[in-house]
Amino acid sequence: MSDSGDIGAFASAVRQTPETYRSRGQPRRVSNAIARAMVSSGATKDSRLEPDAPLSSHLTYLVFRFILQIFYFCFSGYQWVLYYYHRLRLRISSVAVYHNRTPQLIRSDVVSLEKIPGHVATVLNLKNESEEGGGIDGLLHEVGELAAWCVGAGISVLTVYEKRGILKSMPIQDVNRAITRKLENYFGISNTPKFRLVIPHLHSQSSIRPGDNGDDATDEKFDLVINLISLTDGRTSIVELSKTLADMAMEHKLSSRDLSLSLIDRHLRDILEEPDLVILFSPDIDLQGFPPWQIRLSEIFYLPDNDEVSYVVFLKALQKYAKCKINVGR
Amino acid sequence: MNIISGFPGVEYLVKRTKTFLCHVLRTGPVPGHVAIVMDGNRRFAKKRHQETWEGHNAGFETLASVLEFCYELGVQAVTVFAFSIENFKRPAYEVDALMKIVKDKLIQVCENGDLADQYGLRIRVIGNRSLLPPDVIEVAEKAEKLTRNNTKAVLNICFPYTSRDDVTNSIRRIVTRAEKGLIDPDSIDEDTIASNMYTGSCPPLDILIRTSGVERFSDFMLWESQHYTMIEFVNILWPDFNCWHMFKAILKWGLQKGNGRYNENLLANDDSDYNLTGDDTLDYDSPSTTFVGDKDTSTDYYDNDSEETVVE
Repeated sequence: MSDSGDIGAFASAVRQTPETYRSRGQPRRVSNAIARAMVSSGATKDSRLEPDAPLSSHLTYLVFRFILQIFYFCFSGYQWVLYYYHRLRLRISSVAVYHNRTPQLIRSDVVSLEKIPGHVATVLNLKNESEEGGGIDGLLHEVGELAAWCVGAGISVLTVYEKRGILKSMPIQDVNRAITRKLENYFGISNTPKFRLVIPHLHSQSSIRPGDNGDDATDEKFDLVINLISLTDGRTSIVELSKTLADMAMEHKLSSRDLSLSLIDRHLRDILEEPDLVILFSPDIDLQGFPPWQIRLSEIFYLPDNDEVSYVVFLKALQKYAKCKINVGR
Repeated sequence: MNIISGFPGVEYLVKRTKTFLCHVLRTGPVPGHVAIVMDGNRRFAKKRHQETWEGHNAGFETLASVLEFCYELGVQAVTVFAFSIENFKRPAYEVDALMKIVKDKLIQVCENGDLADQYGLRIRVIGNRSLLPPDVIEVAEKAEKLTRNNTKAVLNICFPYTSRDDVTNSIRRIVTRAEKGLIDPDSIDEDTIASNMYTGSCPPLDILIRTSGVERFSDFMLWESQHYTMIEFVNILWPDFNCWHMFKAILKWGLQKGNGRYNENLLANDDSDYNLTGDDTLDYDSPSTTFVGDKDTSTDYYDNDSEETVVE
């Protein structure tokens, strides 16, 4: 509170109405000239300054703007310190926690947790080809790792959201092979867990469901189901559903009175069930258009300033989830 | 804290500081739409060995002060999650107490109308209102009618609301229009759905704040918070939340916006990058004009008076 005097002065300066400025009888022309000079000299980037406004209000404005910049400067300094603190903590914990590519270690990490989510969703990003772990190979590597961790922790459904739908559009066998290789790496060739890739669509009949060896996937038990989704499964799918419903209403197959929340929910569930936990590997909460309908009660997890798909984040997310209490409304 | 605030002059100083911070923030980018989940009233009451309704009451005190800060700053729309449709599952006495508090506050607004008049505030009670008791609906309608000609800012009270209900309602309105042949199904897009939602007439959501450290949306603003919304989960119980936290949130948002959103290397930028492009000249010369954000269309956000938000 050292600058409380200034605060009072500024505040009272602003509280003075424009009429007071005018009544002081400032010569208009001079103030106009100065204002124009300020604009042209580049003292301010804002070209919309009215040349007719009196000088003191411009000055007040500039002073406040300057103070705001100081605030921004201090705040970004604070964030900078925080950034390194977070990174350091992350570095330390990733040394302490490492899966060593053995499922037993993952199992022992989660065995003490009270509950494990049944369905985990993650948001992944395609990184630049030039970056370490970038490109499509990097993305496939991340999906494979996540699949292995999920099987290791006993999670039965994994949803991978990638905004642009790169995983969805590439040949499904390639994705399949990449994940299989990763799982073999973790579990050994004789013990590879079975998984199923699902690319959901609004009308679920058209889901592509290749099993390990093609289409004998009817009665088999899978250790993990992996949903690959993208931006089009989010808001776009709700738009598509509205179009279908509107079409049906026009043909009098459906009355708007029959339209209920549960009807919409039933259709959108075909695309994706509600995940219990959404893990973001981004430095802040950025859902990037993840299906909105489905994250109603999902726990959102992210580590500030983290930008890697790492086991520490995954494990911390599970630990956080185990502690959270969900009480719908109550 | 209580001891300090008891000193003479402290209250005055706090008020002055608040005004000062407002004026400073206004020179930068100002969010157009802020949404708040007021979570933690009951835990607050429990911590202090109070009755639940006392916690809710304290929550409303906080709300009044935060709202004042927001509107003074020039935020055009604030949406608060007062009551979820799921909250009807709570014990009847608590539901009744909450209904009474909201009703009392609305009556208060109707009677003295300070906040509404001072900031040109339009009050809307949004959500599935058919679930409310008739006397509360009556008061809500009265408050809306009294403030309907205010156009500077809007306060959306979500009461009782869930986002899924909101989306369903929006689709239902579209389908009804399609039934009457007023809309071509092929022309439906994201904007059609967004504009038919309860908050359809408000600027896009810039900041979503949830207090009490719970990191979940709990069926609030699911559709709106998907793109370009800064989501802040704050680990403070709502009655403990104050303007300082709001100030920090807006500062953070402004910094992100100024540097390009989701810039991974937010911190590597030097001083010159805190540009305030997109901010407007603060018009101290004509206090009657609305403070308009960087969206040119924002002036006609509330012009649509025929907009019906109530579910039949």
